[in-house]
Amino acid sequence: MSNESRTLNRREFFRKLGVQVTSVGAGVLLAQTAAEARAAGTVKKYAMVIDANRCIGCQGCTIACKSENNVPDGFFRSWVKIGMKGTYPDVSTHFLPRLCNNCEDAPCLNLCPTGATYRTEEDGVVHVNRDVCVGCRICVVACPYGARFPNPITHTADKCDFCYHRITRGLQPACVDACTGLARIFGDLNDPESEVSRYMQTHSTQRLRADLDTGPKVHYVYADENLMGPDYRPLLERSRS
Amino acid sequence: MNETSQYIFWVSHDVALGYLIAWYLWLISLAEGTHIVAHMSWLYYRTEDYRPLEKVGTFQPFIILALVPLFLVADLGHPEMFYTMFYHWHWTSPVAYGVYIITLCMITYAIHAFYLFRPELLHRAGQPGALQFIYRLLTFGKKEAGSISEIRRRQEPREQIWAGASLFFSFMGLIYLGILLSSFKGRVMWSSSVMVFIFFAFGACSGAAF
Repeated sequence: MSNESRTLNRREFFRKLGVQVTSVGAGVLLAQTAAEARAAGTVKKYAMVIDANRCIGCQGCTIACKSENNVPDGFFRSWVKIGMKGTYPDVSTHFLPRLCNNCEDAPCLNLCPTGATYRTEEDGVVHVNRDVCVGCRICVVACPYGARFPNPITHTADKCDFCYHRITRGLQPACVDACTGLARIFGDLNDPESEVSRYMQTHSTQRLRADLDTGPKVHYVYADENLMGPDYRPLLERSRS
Repeated sequence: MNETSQYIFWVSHDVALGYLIAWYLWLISLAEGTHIVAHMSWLYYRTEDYRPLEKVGTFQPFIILALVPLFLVADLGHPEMFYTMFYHWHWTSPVAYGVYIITLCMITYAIHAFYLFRPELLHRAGQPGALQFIYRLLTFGKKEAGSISEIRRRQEPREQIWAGASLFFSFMGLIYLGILLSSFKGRVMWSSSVMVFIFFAFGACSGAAF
């Protein structure tokens, strides 16, 4: 091959560069569309709406969850965060029921090195496969909501999976069944007739750490912004000491 | 939002990654930084004075890389299952890539170190002495005629290939460490693309000091 045939003029260079950039762009777009179509194609999209105004902080959900899922002492899959706001005499108490958000773009799932954390395609619930989990705790550190914990009995990661053994049999999660004030509403968001869909249509909802763009599937109604925000308490305690 | 608030009941599942992981991050970046600094110095100056530096900068990081991943294994909830990370591969996880990058780094360092020491070993294997048996073992029983510089000249293409490979995986290793920490969305101080550059600078500084 002669040197002359190898030379590339500017026009040709830009044409080839353009073709390559367009091909890469089209490829990325196709991959994204396919991922979105896959996500939209799930038969069900389980979600929970928690009306903080109805919560009375009885911790019934906490106890029901612990007994239903044999959660070890000192750890919780679901709990109620309680906080007080204001100065005497203008003081108010606020409750924020907490659990795993089963995020649509879950950081724990993305960072799991073995794929032990996975999402069921048919309903979007995030699970932990204990047979594959090596207990590296990366998912626990990665979860911005502090919803995961290292189970001291199984030495694997543990979290709420909306009581998957119950919901697949047509039952409600244990926390929803135990809620005295009917603050927790669980159901399929893809079904417009479900209670959770109808509740979301009639109320404006909030999500925890929406700035992180993780797509949490636990929505809150009338939740206190102070309790929902990032928890800087350990940092403040450290700076005070 | 600015009202005083006090938590009455909360649950904190916060876990620290632990000192073993901190040592892992530091020693891995030190090993890779050492190799990059040592090899780049030799590449830049191309004088024989820098050859001992390259030898040390390849062999010592190999020792570190061979030992330090054990910290990671010891830190696992199921250390006996660490090997599953090789075949239960999850493509979105930086750690899944890191397992292979660190392993390949270790292998390329070992081969590169072998080629760096090979001319001396071959030369000594040909000389009479008490340790001749060990030298022959280390050179897999091969014999080559000529002086050290002649042997080195003959093996230079192979040496350069492994030097390039080890340098490539060293850079990949530092990128891996940076991406690993920057992918923790919930951690304000870590979740930044600057982490990759921090690890580059950190590795290069520690490596130069080492």
